[in-house]
Amino acid sequence: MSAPQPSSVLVIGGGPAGYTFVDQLRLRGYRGELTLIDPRGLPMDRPPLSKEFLRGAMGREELRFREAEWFEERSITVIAGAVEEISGVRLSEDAAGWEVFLENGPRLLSEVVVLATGTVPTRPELPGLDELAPLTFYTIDDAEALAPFLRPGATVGVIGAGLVGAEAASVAAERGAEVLLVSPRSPAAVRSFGEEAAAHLHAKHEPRGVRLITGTVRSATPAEVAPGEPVGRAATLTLENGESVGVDVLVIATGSVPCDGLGVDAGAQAAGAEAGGGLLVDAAGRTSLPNLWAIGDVARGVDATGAPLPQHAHWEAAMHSAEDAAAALLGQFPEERGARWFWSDRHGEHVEVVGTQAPVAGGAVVRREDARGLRGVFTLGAGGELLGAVTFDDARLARAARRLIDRAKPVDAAALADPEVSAKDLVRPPRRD
Amino acid sequence: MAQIVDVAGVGEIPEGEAVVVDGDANETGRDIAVFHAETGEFFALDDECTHETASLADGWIEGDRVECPLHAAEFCLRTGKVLCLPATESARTHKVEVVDGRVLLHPGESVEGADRP
Repeated sequence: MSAPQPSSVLVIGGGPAGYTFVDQLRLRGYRGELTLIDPRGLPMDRPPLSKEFLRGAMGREELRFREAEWFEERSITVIAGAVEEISGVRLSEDAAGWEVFLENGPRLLSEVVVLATGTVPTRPELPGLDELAPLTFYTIDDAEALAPFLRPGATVGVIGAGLVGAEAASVAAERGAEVLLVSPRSPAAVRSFGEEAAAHLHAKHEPRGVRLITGTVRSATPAEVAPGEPVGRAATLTLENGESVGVDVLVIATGSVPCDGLGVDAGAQAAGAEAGGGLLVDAAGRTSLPNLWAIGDVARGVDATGAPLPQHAHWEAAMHSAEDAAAALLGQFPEERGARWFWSDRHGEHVEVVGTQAPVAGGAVVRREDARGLRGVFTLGAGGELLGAVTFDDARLARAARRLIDRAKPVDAAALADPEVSAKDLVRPPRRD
Repeated sequence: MAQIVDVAGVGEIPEGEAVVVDGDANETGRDIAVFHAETGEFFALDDECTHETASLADGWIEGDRVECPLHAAEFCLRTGKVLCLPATESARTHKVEVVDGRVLLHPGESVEGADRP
């Protein structure tokens, strides 16, 4: 039978991890008090902020996972508020728990606290940046503030050409804005896509009208405004080569760091800033402190030696960690997890990434191309097994690759490269006829 | 109730594939995907994913499930029940029967046990 249930569980953070966690906890039979706190109230999805929402193809309410009634029906209390501090407390003779302090609000008690606070965007060291109002893609407000600049005649500066920066540049270009995309590396996002696919994707910017600058921005000077007016978003950027470029808005997309302050301040073990941050957790999401769990992007798994594993801050991984933690909290077994997957949309192309793209000694990289262009890049290991794949506008190919990776058996490289072999046939056992 | 649509011969939709019956042709106004599951059975759901604009007929059909080609939401082909995020709403089902080797679709007539009748 399952372990005794905690009397109360409080989740801090309403992204994919926080939402999935409360949903899973009830689905798995948790009957105690369940509360979710987020500054924006009802849980919301994030990937569309730099994609469909930014393009105007999706509304504010569509970002919500569920409406208020859904939470009421399941006796999940949703509180719109910011948590300032959590601290360990004795709830009774034999129960340890947590005291949760809300900004300008009440103090809550809960036996278990689950941190699902995600990440916050980093800000580069850039002279002048603090005087500006640069935008990031963390909140819906950021995306809404950027939308008016996505039009012909406006110039959008984007610093950082990783997943989010490239998506923002792509949407801005699609909407007719002039786009200046600054990346210290060319190609960008090699860690996410692997060298070959990253180069293919990076090369799409310029033909779509994005001006690509490889290098850094030296400084940003806010544009002059009429006396009495607040400093706006317009700025002049000084590039490495000394060139000055005026932009109407500046988007910062230089990455993100785990929002681990609440846990760190409470004394939970963390990876530390130089190691990329994040609260250290076991496979199920337990932190080093009793009854304190961390899920999603704020959590950081560890290897057998206790060293932090590489961060994999993607949507599906966040949901899976929430499911696993919900199972473990109730004494149930988590599901087996296969190859990791994420997607990105840029310049009209739906890109999917499964597994790992880091090259291995003795391995190989296989490309699949057809009349429309590059469909997939596959990374094979030394034993001929599939380790990773990046696919372009080919959903079935991504799903086939995922299944092949999970099988961990040698694959037919010639079939992978052959666009005539369907994705379904790649995973079907060979026919006898 | 809309007219029954003669979709195709049983052998014309390979197992693990689907065809789309246009919303005007099926008189419901919504495109319907008719799936030939790997179990050999035929099922039909509204073609558009309940999450965003994507055709479930282009998805990955395995067992009695289909995975959306865009963001990997999964639906049960038998009941239309949504099985994972990002979709949260189940898909509408439509009755399909095989008569004399023909796949017949009953647009707008949900199956018994449908999650969203």
